[in-house]
Amino acid sequence: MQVTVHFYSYFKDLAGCANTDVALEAGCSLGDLLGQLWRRFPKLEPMKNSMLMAVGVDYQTRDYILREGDEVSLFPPVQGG
Amino acid sequence: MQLNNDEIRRYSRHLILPEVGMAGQKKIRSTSVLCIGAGGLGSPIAMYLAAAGIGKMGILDFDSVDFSNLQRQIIHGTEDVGRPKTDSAKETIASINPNVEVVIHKTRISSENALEIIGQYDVVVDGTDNFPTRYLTNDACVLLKKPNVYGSIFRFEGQASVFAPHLGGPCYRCLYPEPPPPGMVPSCAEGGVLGVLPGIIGTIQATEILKLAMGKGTSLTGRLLLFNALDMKFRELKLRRDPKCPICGDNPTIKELIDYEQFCGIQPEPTVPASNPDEVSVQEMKKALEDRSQNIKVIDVREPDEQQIARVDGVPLYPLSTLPQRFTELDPNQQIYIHCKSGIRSMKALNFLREQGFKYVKSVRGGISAWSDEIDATVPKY
Repeated sequence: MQVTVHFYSYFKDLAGCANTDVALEAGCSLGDLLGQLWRRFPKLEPMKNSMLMAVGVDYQTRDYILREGDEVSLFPPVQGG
Repeated sequence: MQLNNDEIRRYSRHLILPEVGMAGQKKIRSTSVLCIGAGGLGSPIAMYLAAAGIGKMGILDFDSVDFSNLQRQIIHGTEDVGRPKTDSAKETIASINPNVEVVIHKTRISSENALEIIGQYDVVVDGTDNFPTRYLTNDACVLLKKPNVYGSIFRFEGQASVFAPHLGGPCYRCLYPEPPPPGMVPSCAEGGVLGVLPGIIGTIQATEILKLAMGKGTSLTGRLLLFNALDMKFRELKLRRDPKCPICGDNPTIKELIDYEQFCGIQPEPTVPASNPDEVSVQEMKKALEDRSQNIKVIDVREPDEQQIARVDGVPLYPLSTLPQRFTELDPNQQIYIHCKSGIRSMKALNFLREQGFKYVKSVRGGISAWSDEIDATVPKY
């Protein structure tokens, strides 16, 4: 199956792109997807425990089972005020 | 207590809204709000809440107004540069609406004073500019069961929500359980911010506070609003409280405030700056530029846009972002002094070049800002 990952804010800089398509085996979780992303985008990995993950418009955790066509968004924390 | 005639005239456009009315306006007047940070977000929040007739407005900030604040921190004016932000904010609020009781807290919020200060208010609004204070504000609000109206901004993007686990929503830690590694996340001082952006996010926060005060509408509790000014798009995410959250979860492990600087991996600043063998002063950089017989190469690792703002003549640009491709242009056996804006990126560049086998690299302490302060005041600071 294929899912699309969207990067927000400075994650675009760290990943070098705004979004990417990832091919996964059926039954993969959001955590499995992230593992693949760290290999492709090693600069993102240090942020792995401090990012907000959403599928569609819903916040999700790593154990969420992905489905064909899911739109995954990764949001970094920002501190400015 | 009834509104007097002056108040009725002042708030008439509220009073004729059925959702606000006399009852809502009185609730606004009986609400106290602590605004943590009188900066980009704090400016519109404090000004609009004052105009709306909030009862008590606490302003917490330890900083003074700087020229570089004026592009977005509209509660302060040009003549306020150098003054404490709390004093300047108090005057602006008083001129907008003298009925508002303003309490200033000219202090840094800390684990020692947070509960005592926050305990005096009904609602807290987070307008801070750093992670330790955001986690501290969150934890103190969860422990005290106070709604925490959250907003944060960077470059062209911002986010806002209302954290209130006691009302069923998540807290900041449910979203971001761990702070990012120190140095990974640029601040607005490093990455820039569109001046109007805190105006948009801050007015959203002010709106949420008024709704909380009146008990009207649907609050942002359980939702994160994301805004992108370049695309002019709003997005919304549905959030959930994390039952495993260490502070608002079902079995919390954090029961009192902790050391947030340590939690965020920030080393306490030494009282006397320790001399770092990897650093040189701007005086040494000047000597290297003037005395070519020393055969020291000085390079600038800022980005091209920054060089347009301020530059030291005769220093070539090797932007940090391009260094992995361009380091081969440099001689690994030559002495190299690296400067950036303030001395942080030059240290990153130093570490990178060391890994590539460069033996004699030094980072210029304080960067071009220090150059402007100590060598050449005609070089603008930004």
